[in-house]
Amino acid sequence: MKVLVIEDEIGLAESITDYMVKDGYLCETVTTFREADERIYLYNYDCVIVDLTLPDGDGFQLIQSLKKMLATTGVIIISARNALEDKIRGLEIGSDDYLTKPFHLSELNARVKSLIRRRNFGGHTEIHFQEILITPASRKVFVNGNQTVLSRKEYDLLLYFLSNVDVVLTKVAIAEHLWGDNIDSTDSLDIVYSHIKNLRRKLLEKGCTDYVRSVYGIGYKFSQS
Amino acid sequence: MKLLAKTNRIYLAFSLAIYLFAGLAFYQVIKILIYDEVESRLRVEKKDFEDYIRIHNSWSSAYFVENKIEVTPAQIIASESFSDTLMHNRYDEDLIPFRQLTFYTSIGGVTHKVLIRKSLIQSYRLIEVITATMATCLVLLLIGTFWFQGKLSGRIWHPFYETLSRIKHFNLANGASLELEKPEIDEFKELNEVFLKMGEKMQQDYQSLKEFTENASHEMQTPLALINAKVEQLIQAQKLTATQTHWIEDIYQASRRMARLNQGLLLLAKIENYQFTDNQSINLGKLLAEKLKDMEEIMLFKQISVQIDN
Repeated sequence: MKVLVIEDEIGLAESITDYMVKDGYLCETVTTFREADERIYLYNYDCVIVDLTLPDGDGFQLIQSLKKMLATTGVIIISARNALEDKIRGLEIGSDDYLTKPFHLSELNARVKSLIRRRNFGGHTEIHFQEILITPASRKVFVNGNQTVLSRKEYDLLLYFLSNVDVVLTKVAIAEHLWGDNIDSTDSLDIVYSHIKNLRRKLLEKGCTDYVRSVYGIGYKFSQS
Repeated sequence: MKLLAKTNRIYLAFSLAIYLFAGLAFYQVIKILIYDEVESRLRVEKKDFEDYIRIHNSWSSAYFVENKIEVTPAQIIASESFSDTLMHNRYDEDLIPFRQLTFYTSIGGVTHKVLIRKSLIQSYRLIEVITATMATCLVLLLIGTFWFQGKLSGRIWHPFYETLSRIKHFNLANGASLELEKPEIDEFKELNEVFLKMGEKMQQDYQSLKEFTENASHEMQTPLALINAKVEQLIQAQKLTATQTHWIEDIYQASRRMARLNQGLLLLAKIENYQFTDNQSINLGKLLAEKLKDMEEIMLFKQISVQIDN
């Protein structure tokens, strides 16, 4: 899977690239409009992550020329601009998602994964993790072949974990993933805990190994070891 | 009240006052002229009467037309005087205005009081006709000037009303600059120039304010995104002590809070700058119900029950 990151803030671009590379993506980074234009013209990518405000150009223009050349490339906009017009315009010219800065790397990762799933397999794909199997098209979860019934939030939570295996997810990141950016109270963190407890219980009931690790003070990690 | 209506009203009141005064003065002048004429004729008749008395030394009513002269013996003598009186007509019972001259003279050695009268009926008719004609003329003049004034003012003030309506429809947010005509009247031209300058300045200010909020958003959110990303990466490190984790958690929370605060401030600034022009009425109750549904889990968790009264 090839991903192109177009972001002029070098530190942020590095972080995104590191995160993606760890997850097994082939990731390239450019920091200017000119470079990005060149790369888009020369190579094909599965997904492009674009910042709208570049020092020498407008991200919208990049998306437009990209869509003209290869319409199947997934596009995720990351922007500090939180205006509704920008979001609408981005979606209108063919981008798939819009993330407002600051965002969680795990959130970006989850969105890239979901986007690639939708783009490449038309959503008809299965996600495997050891004895767990998820069919995103029907939103069903199986453990060792037996279906376990999860609530909507528990399902989203499991999918989020599986999109970020072996990564510590902060409670805030989880809360914002489940309830959106507007969730802003310490109470929500307790609910994250209760949802994780329920998810764990339901998985364990079907004989699943407990993969959810609590990382003291910060959050949770879904990992084999 | 409209400017034109106001000026017209003042103009009307002023003209009416002037015309009334002019009418009254005219009436008085004509009346004085007529009295002067009648009185000089009465004096001529008095002279004729005295000539007659001197020649004949007696009085015969046949000489003068009946009702026009009255001679009565009198004891006292007073000075000659003019007065107005009403007398019956010879043929019918109508009262007719007369001007009479009273004087005393001696006929055959006896003092007599003599009254010579002249009918004013013709003169009054004259005054009436003249007054009526003049009043009609004045009224016509008044209506005419009023109408003309209205037409003229409408045309002269047209650029002003045009400017007013353009300014009313001027919208800062849509970016179109203010377009005004160049009228030939200097005052209106200057007014338009001032408005154009102001409009331009306002648009510039609005634009720079808008750009500032957008730039502030970008400049603030990007470093915050950087902090966030780096902290997230730091968390992944394996060998963190509990204290370090706690610190990192604090940094993380603070940066999130800052980001949210920044977004809130920007939203407020945008609202204050009237950058949201698409206003529509919303059903707050419905929105609240939706939000409450979103919060259902949190409320359930915190064991809070909410009741909605419609």
